[in-house]
Amino acid sequence: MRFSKVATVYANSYFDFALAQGKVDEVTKDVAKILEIVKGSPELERTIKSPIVKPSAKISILIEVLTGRVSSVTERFVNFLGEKNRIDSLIEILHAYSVLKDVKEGVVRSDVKSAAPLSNEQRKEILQRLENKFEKKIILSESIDEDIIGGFVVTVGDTIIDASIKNQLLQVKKKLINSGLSLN
Amino acid sequence: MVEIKPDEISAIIRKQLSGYSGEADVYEVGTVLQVGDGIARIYGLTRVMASELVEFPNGVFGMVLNLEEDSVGCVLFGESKLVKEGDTVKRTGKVTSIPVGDAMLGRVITPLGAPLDGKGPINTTKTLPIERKALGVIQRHPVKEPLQTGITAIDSMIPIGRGQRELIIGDRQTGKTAVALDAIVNQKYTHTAEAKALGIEPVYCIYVAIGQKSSTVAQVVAKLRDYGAMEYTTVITASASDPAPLQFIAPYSGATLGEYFRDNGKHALVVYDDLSKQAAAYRELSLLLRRPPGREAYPGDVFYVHSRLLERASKLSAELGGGSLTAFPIIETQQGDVSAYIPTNVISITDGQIYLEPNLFNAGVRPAINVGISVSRVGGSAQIKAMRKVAGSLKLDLAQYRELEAFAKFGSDLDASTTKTLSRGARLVELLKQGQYAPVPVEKQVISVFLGINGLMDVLAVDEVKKFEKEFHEFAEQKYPEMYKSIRESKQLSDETSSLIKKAADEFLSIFKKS
Repeated sequence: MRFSKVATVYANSYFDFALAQGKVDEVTKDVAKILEIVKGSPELERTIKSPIVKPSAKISILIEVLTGRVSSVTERFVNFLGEKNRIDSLIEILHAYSVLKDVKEGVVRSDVKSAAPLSNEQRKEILQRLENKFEKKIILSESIDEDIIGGFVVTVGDTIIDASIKNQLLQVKKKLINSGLSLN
Repeated sequence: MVEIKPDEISAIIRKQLSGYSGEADVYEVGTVLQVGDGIARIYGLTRVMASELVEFPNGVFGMVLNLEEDSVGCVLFGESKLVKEGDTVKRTGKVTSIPVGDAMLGRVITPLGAPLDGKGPINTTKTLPIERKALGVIQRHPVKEPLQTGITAIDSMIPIGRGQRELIIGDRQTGKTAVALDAIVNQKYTHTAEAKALGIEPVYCIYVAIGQKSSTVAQVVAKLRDYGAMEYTTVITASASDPAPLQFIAPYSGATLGEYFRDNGKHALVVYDDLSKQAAAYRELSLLLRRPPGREAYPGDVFYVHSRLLERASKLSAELGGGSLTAFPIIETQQGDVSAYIPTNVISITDGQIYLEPNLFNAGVRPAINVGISVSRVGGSAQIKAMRKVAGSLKLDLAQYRELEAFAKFGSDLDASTTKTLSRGARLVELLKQGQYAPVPVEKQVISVFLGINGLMDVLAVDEVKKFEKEFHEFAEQKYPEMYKSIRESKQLSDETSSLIKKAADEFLSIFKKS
């Protein structure tokens, strides 16, 4: 995902501020919580992004929703966004924050697609191998895709490790076509 | 329908698959953000290299040209309709390259090396990147061997050496391609056993057609085949209907193929027909990639596009095998305007130019070379001694003729010496006329020019000159073959040979007049 300059800059200062206050873990939890709230309520997202709703109204709605649920750091940050008239970008900033935090902490998110659910052993093996290969802490998320027939496909950033049966069949097909197989 | 047993098929498939090992594929990908007009912007591909080949779905390939902060700009070598926003792009890990090898000779290929002539796959083992750095000073040797074009006017007054870059410039329909094709056809003699005995090494040719009509290219290929020149020639074509990126890279592919021969100690001649269209294709790309336009809307680095291409022409030092790569770039001017942006650029890069004029062409002087402003900056040292001896006075006589040409209108009122200069000049111009695909070997050129400058043809009418020349050679080859042999082998024009030519001319003149 690509973020605008504004989102990157604000997310950066948000992270630095949380770090200075020693409250990175709390803030990270806040971010996850807000993103979840927004996900659960499309109206809220629409309100925040809407150019028609006045910024002051947005702030009061947000404060009402968030008070007591998030830390003081986050509350202050939301107020600050209101002051700077950047409340529209809140959700993008929060997304940028999650990515930024991963980068700063050397964590890489990775997606494993497999045809059947992974066993604990397989999961451990994959994780182990990925961490050795990329020399970074890896957080796995899993999904099931029966389209790949068998095996698995791991996505880490821009790199794809494709060990699916589907890909192997494609390779075989390519090889047979390119070899100029003829019956004469 | 031939009957095939099922177990035969499975045996073949088993054989084909025997080398297959099902390992995991590791590749890097990006996502297409925007596509159109032959350009794609891609998000991702974080480690991609500049000018790397990337693969889109549906077998479309692209080349990375712009590396930006948050996206990668890429040109497509195929239909942009086949690529959509959100498609996955794969890295190939290879810089755009072309397969090279002797198997390329006689073939018609795309700038990426795929065959176009329906003669099946090309068996090459080696590939080289299309963009290579030109050689430095140490690796080079001054140009010393002649590259005979077979055109008397060029070989005598604008001599070209192996490793030189000689521009062919002129308006449309002035015979630019004809000059280049004649030069290719004339290289046939370098592949003969006779040339080998004389120490003349073979020249392999590459004809790069950029932005031309496919029908024109087909005609060129047919002509080359008719004259037996395809055996040592490769034609690379990016026709007018091909995407601009292919037209842009075509000359670089040609240079790479030529460098393969050069680096193996052989000699190559590359014709870029033509670089004005390549510059236009590059302008299209640059504007679509949003690079700022400069003069005539060409991007700022259009000079570098041509200079880095032509700088690759070179003559290698003896330690490196002594191979050479000669370049014939062609530029089309509009209404004779050589001071436009691209012509001035290429004129300043090359080691001289052959200037073709529509006026001369229409007056029947073909090849329509304006010898007054055509020059060759290095070729003189590559001329054989015999030719150098006669070319000096040929140039002088023609220069004097041009000076006085304006007075020719006054006819009878001229003094004797002016009349003489004029009549000599008119005969020399006539002598330098030459048909297409009729290359003349150097010894015949020397003798013809010798006849001209020594006034042995002054007694003839102007329209008899060509006929006399032709018949004289027929006569002399029968009766005095030793004078041809002497020039061919010693590369000198000795006094005995000179007097022999004079004697033969006098003898033939009397026969010629009677008939």
